[in-house]
Amino acid sequence: MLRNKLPKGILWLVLGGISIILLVPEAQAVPSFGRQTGMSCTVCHTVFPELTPFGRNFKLTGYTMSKHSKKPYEWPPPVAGMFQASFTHNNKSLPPNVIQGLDPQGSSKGNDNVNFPQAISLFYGGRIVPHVGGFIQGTFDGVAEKFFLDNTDVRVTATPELFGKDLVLGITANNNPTVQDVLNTTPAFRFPAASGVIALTPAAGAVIDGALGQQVGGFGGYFYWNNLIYGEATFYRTARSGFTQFLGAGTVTDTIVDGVAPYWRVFLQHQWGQHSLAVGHYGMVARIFPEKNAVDANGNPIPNLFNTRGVADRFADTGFDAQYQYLGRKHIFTAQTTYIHEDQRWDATFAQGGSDNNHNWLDTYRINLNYYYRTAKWGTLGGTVGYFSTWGSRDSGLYAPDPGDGSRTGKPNSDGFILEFDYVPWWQNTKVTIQYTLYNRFNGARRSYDGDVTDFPNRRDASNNNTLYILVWQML
Amino acid sequence: MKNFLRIGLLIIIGGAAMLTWAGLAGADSGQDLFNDKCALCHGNDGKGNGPGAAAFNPGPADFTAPQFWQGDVKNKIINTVKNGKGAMVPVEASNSEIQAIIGYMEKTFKP
Repeated sequence: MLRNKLPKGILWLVLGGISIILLVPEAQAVPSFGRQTGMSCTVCHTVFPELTPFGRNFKLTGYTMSKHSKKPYEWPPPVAGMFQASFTHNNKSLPPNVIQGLDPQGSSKGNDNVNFPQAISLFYGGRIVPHVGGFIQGTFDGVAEKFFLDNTDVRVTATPELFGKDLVLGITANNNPTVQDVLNTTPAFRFPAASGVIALTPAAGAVIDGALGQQVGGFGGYFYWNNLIYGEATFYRTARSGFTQFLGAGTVTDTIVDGVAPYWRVFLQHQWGQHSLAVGHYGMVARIFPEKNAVDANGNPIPNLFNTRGVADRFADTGFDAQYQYLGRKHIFTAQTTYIHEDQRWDATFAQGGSDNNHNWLDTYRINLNYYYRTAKWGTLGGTVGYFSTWGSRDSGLYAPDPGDGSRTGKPNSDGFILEFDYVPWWQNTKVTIQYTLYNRFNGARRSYDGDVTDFPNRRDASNNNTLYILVWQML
Repeated sequence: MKNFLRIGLLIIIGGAAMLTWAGLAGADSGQDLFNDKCALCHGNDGKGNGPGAAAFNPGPADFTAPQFWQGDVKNKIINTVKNGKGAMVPVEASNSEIQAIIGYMEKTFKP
């Protein structure tokens, strides 16, 4: 664990800096977006990172709203920081092979891991020059102990009128499909915003559901008319090489997209007083090269070796989502839901013998309900109840038995609940989260899901992966 | 290890810089306070058409409209700033700052 190796002096250095920032009233205030606009966190966020209608508008106009708009460039530069520290407890300790996969540095234990830090980030967040703004995040991963370019979204926008109504036109360059989205229903900024890093999670997920984060770079255009209708088309290519390589800086590109992967998004939003309702559709088609089944002279597998031409697997994702939000003076309520259907053509993997079927499908469904109570004196507290479910084609080649993270049944089916409590104190840029994830099924079964051992109590059941996660999230 | 030290130093420098900016940032006059805290949505001209206005339906209040100035306007403004109204969330401002903003609004926008 990094904490064990860290000289006390450096630890105190960082803590001292955080303390300075926390103890001064004015500097307690807000990160860079707030400093740029003069607005408090609660104008753009219910509980960060969830956005209010004003926050959505701020993002859609390219992060350029500023009280310094008469200046040719934003000064002081809108930089901000983030520090996360966490504790993760699993119902049953994780097997060694899983620990090795989650933490190749070898610092983590089978259970009860303290990540201090979990992550430290620096942001450039805000206006650069008129009509140009960005959200650029560089992160130090406290588990992998590496620094990399994290979520990045740079925009050029204009705000003319169309038929007498406000129109936003924008261009986005980003490195994670849906990071540019303004509803908290799509993968990049959905609930939960953070979860246990030394914990097992279901094996199967749609490609659009986070698999391409920092693996691709994309350029696209969008419009938003009359605070009513949004449309976007963005085109992604691999960050392994070429002009999009910089958008994957610091990340090993091990999901290789073949050619161009188109992404599209539309939603309708209606706002009335303190209420807003949005319904939408999004999708993506990506062709991805599988890892080669290469071995060295001694017969050991060679990892991270890919074809970059020829036959690739094809994934077509179609998503639907909806969000309702009520922003009262003291009471805040949000309901979010999304459904993704993925059509999978395993043309390359099947030819290599890596899957039983050439054609599979995978469905994902989530629904979250959150309620917060806000007071001027004590801050905001409340929480979320979320339900998630993934189900799809049986394929023992793709979902094979393996200790801890395999599947006995060959099915990707997993479902469960996430219960989360959040507290944001009155100074607004700290969040304390207590989260519990309960699994009903995991990788295709409730009992002995991984197929390693079937006798009780030595087997691994879905409930063994239930996770308690405590997070302190400080924005600077 | 070196990266972590560098990041830690950046956090310290950033924090110190924020202290400096916070100390230098002053918004003493009613106009400065209005432009800082209100103009993003209500517009520098008070007409309710600032850059952030498009996020709200109905839009922000037009302070140049005669009907806005009917009734107990001062208490209406104080209550709205402190407690919010409709989609508008409360704005952080001291009592003296609110009085300065009201004075500027009366002088500048009242028909």
